[in-house]
Amino acid sequence: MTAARGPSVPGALGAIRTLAAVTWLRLLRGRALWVAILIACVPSAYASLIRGRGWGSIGDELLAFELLVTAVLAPMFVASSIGEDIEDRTATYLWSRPIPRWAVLAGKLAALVPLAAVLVLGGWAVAANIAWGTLPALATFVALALGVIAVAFVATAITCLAPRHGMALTIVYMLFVDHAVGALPAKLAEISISYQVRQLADPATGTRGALALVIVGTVWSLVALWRVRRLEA
Amino acid sequence: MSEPHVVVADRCSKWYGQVLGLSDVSWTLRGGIVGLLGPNGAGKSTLMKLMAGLLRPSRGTLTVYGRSPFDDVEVRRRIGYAPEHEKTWDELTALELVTAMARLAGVPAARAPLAAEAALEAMGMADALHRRVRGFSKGMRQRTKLASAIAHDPDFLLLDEPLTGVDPIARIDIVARIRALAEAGKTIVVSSHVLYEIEALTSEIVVIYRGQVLAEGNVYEIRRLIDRHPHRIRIECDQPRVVAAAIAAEDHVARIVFERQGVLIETRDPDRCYDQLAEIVLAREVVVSSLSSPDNNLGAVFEYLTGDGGRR
Repeated sequence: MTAARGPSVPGALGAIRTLAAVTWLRLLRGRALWVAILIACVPSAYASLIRGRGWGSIGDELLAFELLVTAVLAPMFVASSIGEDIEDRTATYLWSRPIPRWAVLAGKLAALVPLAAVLVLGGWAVAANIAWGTLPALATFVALALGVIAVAFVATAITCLAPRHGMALTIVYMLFVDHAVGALPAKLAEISISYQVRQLADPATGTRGALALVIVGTVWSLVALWRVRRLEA
Repeated sequence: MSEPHVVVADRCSKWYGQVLGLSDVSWTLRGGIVGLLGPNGAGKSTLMKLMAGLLRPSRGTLTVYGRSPFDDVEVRRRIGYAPEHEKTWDELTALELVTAMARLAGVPAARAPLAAEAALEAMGMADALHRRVRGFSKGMRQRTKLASAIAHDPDFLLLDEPLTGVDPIARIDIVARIRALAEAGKTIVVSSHVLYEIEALTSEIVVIYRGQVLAEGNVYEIRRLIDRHPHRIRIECDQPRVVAAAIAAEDHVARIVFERQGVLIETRDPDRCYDQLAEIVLAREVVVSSLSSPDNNLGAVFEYLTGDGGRR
C-alpha cells in the first residue's frame, strides 16, 4: 500500500474544511441536532402564549428568551464536540496529525457556529412572526448572530480549560454569571455578552455593542488558543 | 548530509502531576521494527505519545528526525500513530474516517479517498469500507486504526498495543501486515505487554518498566532471562492427575498444584512444557477444556528481572 505523496503538510484552510465536513457528518448522524432543533422551537411556543401584545411590551421579553436559547444551543454544539474529542481521546488522532491545534478548533467552529446561528436566528424569526405577525428589526438578527459567535468562543475556552464539564460550565456561566453581570447597573455590565446583545438589538443605543462583542469574543478565543496549545492527550 | 536518527530521547522524563510516566530515558532508534515491551502502566504509551507529539517532555528532550514532534507540525507528516484506545468517530464509515485522517495528514483531496481505500484494503478491510465504525468488532477497529495510521504513507509508524483484544486468526493476519510494512522500509515501534506478541513481530525489543528503559536488544536474551522465572500454566481437563503424573518427573517443573477443575504447573521452561503437555494430552486422550497462563501480565516477571521484587 502506498498513498501518493501530497504536500509536506496540509494547509490550515484544507484542514479546517475537512474537520468542518467531518463535524457536520457526525452531527447529521447523531441525535444532538434534533434536540437542538427542539430547543430552537421553544421561543416560538412561548411566543404563541404571549401573542397579541405589542412589540413594546413583549420585544424585550422575547429577546431575553431567545438569549437563553443562545446560551444553551451554542455550548451544546461547540462544547460537546470539543469536549468529547478530548475526553474520549479521539483528539489524539487530530493532534498527532501535521496540523496546528488552532485549526482543529477552527474546523469545529466553522461547522457548528453557522448551524447554531441558523437555529437561533430561525427560531427568533419564527417566534417574532408568531408574536406580532411580522419580522423583527435587522439589528436584532445581527445582535443575536454576534451573540452566538461570542458564546461559541466562551464555550470553546471553557471546554479547553475543563473538557469534561465544558457544556455544563458554559451554560451555567452564561445563565448565571453573564446574565447577572449584564443586569448590573455598572460599567462591569460591558463585559456581559447578553447585555451587549440587548444593546446592539436596540437601534437607539447604536452599534457600540458590536465592538464590545468582538472584544469579548477575542479575549475568550485567546484563552482557548493558549490552553489548547498546552493540552496533552 | 545524512538523515538524523528516527528517534533520539535524551534524559527524557515525563510527569503527570505527581505521577512519573517516564524517568530519565535516553534511547536512540535508527530504524527497523522495534518492540516496546513492558507491563501495563510501565510507560510504553507515554513514550509512544511523546514520539507522536501528543505529550511534551517534562525534562530532557525527545526528537523525531531531529525535530520536536510536539512543537513541529511538519515532522508529524512523517509519523503515523495508532493509539491504544478504541474510541474513534463511530458515526463515520471506515472509508470516511480514514479519508478524513489522510486529508488531515496532507494527502490531497482528490487522492485521499483512494489512499484511504488502499490503506483499508491493505489492512484486510475491503469488505467493510462503507460500514459505520459503530458496528465494528475490536479486531476491525484495530485494523481501521492501523489504516488511519498508514493512509498518508508515513516513514515512521507508532502502533500502541495493536493486537490487544484481537482474536487469534486476526492476530496472525495483522502481524503479517505489520511485518509487510516493515519490509517496505517503514520504521515501526510496536508496544505490547505480551512478550509473545512482540516476538511474532520483531527480535529487537526495548523493555520498559516503571518509566525506565530496563533492557534493550535481542528478544532471545530477554526471553532467556524471563524463562528462568517460573512460568505458570493452568490446564483444565477431565484427567488432571494423569497430566500431573506424566509431567511431574520433568526437570523444568518446579511445582504442581491441583485445582478444582484442573492443575496448575509451574515451569522454568514454558516452551518445553507446552510441547510435552500437547504430547501427553494426545497420548492419554485427555479432554482439555482450557489451557491458559496466569502470567500474561508481565509484572511479576519484570520485578524478577529488576531483582528487587518491585520494591524500588
